[in-house]
Amino acid sequence: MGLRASFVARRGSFDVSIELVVADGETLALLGPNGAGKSTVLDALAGTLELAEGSIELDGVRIDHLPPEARAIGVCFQGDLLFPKLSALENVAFPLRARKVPKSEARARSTELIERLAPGVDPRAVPASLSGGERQRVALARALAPEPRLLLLDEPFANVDVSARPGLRALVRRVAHTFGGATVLISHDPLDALTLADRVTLIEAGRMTQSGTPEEIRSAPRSAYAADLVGVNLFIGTLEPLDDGAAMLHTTDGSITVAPDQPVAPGTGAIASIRPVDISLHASEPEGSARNTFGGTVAEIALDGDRARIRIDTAPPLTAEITAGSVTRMALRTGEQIWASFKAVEVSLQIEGGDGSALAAGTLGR
Amino acid sequence: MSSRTPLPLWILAAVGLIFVTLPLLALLIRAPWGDLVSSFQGSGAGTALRLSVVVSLASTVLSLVLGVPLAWILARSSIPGRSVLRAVVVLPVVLPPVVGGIGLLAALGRGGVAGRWLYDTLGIQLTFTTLGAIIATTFVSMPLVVLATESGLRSIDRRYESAASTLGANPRYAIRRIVVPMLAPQLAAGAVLAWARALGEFGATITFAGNLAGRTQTLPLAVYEERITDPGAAIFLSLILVALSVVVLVAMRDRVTQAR
Repeated sequence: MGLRASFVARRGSFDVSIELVVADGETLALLGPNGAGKSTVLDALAGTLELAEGSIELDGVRIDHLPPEARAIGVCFQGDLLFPKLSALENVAFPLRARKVPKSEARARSTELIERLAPGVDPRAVPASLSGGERQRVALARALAPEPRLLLLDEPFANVDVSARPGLRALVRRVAHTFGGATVLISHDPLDALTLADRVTLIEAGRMTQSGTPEEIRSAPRSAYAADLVGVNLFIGTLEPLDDGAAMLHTTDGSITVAPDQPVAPGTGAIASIRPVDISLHASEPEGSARNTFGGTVAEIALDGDRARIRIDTAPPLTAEITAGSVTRMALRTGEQIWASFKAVEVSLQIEGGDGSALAAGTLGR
Repeated sequence: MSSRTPLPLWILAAVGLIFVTLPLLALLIRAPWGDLVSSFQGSGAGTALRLSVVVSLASTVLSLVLGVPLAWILARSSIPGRSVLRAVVVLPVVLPPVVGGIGLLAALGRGGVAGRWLYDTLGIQLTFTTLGAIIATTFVSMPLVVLATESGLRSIDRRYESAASTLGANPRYAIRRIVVPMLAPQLAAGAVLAWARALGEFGATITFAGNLAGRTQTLPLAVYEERITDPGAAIFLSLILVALSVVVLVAMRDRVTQAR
């Protein structure tokens, strides 16, 4: 039946308010910058932090009044937290022995789990002698040993070599779909969310800012953090309709021209985004049909293989993406005057509805 | 390079070294090596040694039984005034032992604050008894257990216990299987230190428990008594204590420097 949670949790003077619904077999990623409240949410779900308000239901039964040891959860911690004085086998058997499972049965089940999830790891090895990736696998086995109904993964790949991550991601993906319960993954790395999650919830400063599938977030980010995640330029402001059906979107940093596909009332809120590749750069002020033309100086040039991301301090600021070859051809340098342009119809537009929700995008073919 | 170290430094260091080692060397030189056996029988060393072992071991056990829970409260609980409590608990470490003995008399002597009730109601007298010697040595060695254990507890990441609870362990099970093994090196160090301190305790013991051969006359007290009448015996008894101290030093080196 899965997880249904809606609560406010408090840590010191910091409030986190969140709603989560995760079905069995489903993986939800909770993404947010550091300090957003992700670990507060995890602690509330695990039971190490009491709720200030609200409830948590697992399989239709309220669990928020239960201590952690009474909840059917499995937690895989940031930094694995394998017990240093216990062997890998004893670590995995720990939750079983804590529930008074007989020693021989606990050993058998743990051995099988280690063989399946951490092949190649000697069950008698102590955590200190294992690599980061191996430890995380053992930690996963330990979390799954008591056959939990909710699996909580806290930054599972933080302490793992980059080279070991793909294998570990594949393992987590397989496990999350087959163990039978709901999975909540906490991360600040968008790659984790995009590769493992069926749905993503973004959390910033203790509040949910967006919730949806990875594709939905990618195509229509609703906050600066979301836009950064998926690498687009984001503009948040109010619309002012123009005579020809287009509109100006006024933000605090500047204004752009957009093309809504329906009439808008002045002052309507909207969120617009444009991909960096859709922005053209010119050495001198261009002529042409692009409605959005801005002049400014180059603030930063970031090369990434054969692509380059150019940050320009226009009003509003823009990040464009061009080929590394173009950087050379145009002899781009920071501090140089440059012109950027993009078409109004290529701007992805989300117009706020009366209840604050975003209505359909106002672009062609996006 | 010796040319870099000034000569006065060498001289002072040499004086310091002689200052510390001469008494120990003198013990070895002046010991009655010829009459070891008769010295042993004559000085009552056997009795004093047996008593010292019993008292020091009992006091170590008592220090652990009372000191570890105390350390736990100091390290883990949130009751107010912990820093004051800690200062009071550690006080016996710096307090002159004889002052500790006077304090114990005032508390547990026959006319003492609690001692009066013990004697009048239960007929129990603690002064001049072996139990009194155990109490006196526990008074000075328990703080060492508390210090070592509290420091050990503070160094254990509390998240392990959080993790254990999310894995289904109640607090007692988590303490038994997770915390105690991690605390073991510090616990052992504290116990060894407490035992060494108990072994060498003099001022509080003689003040509170008296100097009764066979009942409260531990090795240090026996040394003190013999030094006038039989210096050879006193030296002999002292060497036993030196040997025990060396054993402690060796044990401590293993425990402390390799503490995980």
